[in-house]
Amino acid sequence: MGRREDDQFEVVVKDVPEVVPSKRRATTKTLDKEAEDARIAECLQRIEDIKKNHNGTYPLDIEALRSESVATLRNKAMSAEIESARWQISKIVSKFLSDTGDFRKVALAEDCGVDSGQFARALRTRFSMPPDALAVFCYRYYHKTAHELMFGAPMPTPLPRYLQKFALALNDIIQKDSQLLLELYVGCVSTYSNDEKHALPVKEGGSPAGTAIRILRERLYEIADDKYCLPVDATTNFLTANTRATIKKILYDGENNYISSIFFMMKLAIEYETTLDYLMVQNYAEIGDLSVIAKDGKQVIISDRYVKGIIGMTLMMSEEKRQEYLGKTLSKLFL
Amino acid sequence: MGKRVSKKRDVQSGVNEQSPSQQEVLAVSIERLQPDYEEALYKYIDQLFTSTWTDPELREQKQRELDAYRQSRRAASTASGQSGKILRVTYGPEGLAPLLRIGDLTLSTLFDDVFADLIAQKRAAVGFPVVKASLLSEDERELRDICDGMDNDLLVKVQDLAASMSPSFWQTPEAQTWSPTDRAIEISKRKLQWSDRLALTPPELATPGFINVKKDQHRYMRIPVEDFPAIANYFHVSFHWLMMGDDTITATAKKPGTEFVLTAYMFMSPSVKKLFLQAVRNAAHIFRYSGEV
Repeated sequence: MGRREDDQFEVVVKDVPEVVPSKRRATTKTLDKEAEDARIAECLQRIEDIKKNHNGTYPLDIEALRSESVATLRNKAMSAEIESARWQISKIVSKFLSDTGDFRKVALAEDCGVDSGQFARALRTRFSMPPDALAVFCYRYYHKTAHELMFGAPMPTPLPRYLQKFALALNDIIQKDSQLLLELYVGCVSTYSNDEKHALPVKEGGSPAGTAIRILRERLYEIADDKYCLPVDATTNFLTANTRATIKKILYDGENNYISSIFFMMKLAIEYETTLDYLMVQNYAEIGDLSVIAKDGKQVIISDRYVKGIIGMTLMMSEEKRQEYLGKTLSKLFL
Repeated sequence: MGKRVSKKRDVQSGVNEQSPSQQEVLAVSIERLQPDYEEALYKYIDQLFTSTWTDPELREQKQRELDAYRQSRRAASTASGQSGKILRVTYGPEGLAPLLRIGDLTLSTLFDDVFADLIAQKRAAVGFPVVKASLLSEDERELRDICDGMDNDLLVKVQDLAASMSPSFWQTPEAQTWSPTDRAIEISKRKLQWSDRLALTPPELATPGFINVKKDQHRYMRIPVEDFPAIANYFHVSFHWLMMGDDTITATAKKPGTEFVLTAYMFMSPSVKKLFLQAVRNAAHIFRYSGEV
């Protein structure tokens, strides 16, 4: 802007407007978009390949699956990888049954609560089993966690917040005062056996039909309560509309008639960063390890059988007894 | 109605003169008390000087405290030599908390007594009933009474246990900087369906002030003072936490430490609440028993 002699303002407009920065931005934006499109195309190609040839990774790479930020792409990748893993799981289970040789398949299928023909077919082609039956198979016969069988590698189950400090204290007691740990264990056994309404371990018939879906519902609420949000928002990634709708159906279906597939539960385990056992078994400490986050932010793995025993019995107690036992023990340990 | 408030601190408040530790506090989201409420609060304190504080020593002490507060809230002098005016009362440890201490008030007495007429008038104008700020359920009252009766060492342990069993989001350093409106919005984001938040505001909360804040994408609007008790009551969160209470003031308890326990407790799920309350009952029982011995 310049000042003319007669005190009037003159507006000087440059011939060429400076558009370089915006151009640069546009170019960068276009490049980014092209790179993103290429990445998505590559992912889709890989998914198609897995679907066709069943050549997905097993053990499943949970971290890689979870790291995909595009919800629909993540969902497709999870479906393809899980579908591919089912072929591997069939082989593993068949090998396990032929190696041990102790079980008649018909009797085993009946004990797990599945049709023997369906079980035989699942072993020949892609593995398939309802969640309740899978829990019985894993805990009664396979002696490994459902998570280890379905994902190919074990993972410690992260404990809910209300049990974390308790579990950490028990883990510390192992080294410092084993007598106190034994006392706590005996006290827990006593409370557990006096509890008439306690749940049974899976080994002793604690997973009748319908248990897994009830537990899944409870666990989804527990995860959400730990983060003080709604269950559909309790994940780090944004879920697809279909997944959100299915979760809502599981949570709000009053008649308990929704049957969740094990594969949907696997997807939930990936999304909620937990184990399959946490989502479908009452006592997830029965076989697998547990994990807690210490005050310094480090993960502590709990594998001591007494500590796991105490936490497992606590999980199986009725709400009143759990309240009574934990109320007493927490005040003894911390207050 | 909500008031447009800048998130940045006023230039006049002497930002450059703050020490590094105070500068960290500057990150706190600033929210001011609306003028009519501020006026009501100052009027109440003036009334205490004229009628309640008859003891000269007490009057003198309170006057000193009030002067110190005014001095701390005085804006920097202008270039023309005029002394700066007193800055408006803000929520948090620098603004509202010292005034509450001077007036021997708690957050619930402030809302239920000092602001009672204003709140009743404003809530009636938009057709909503008055909700008391001191509303607590039976178990919360029990926990409050137990914690108020504890010695400080035990109370610290209870606070530690409560913090470990309660969700972590409200304990993060970032959450400490949220203003009351930020806190209310955060809670409603977490507890109402994301996609339905605009369409389906619960009828208890759908005051024009709250709706405006929800619609405001830039987060300039502030929730009116009179709506906060209703929000705390609807989401069942601690009123002390919602109003940026610190460890020098209380809402319903006698000790500020108890307010921390209550805040943590109110964020717990119902089943964890039962466990925690049972643990505190046991601890209090042992404490009483050992005290008698």
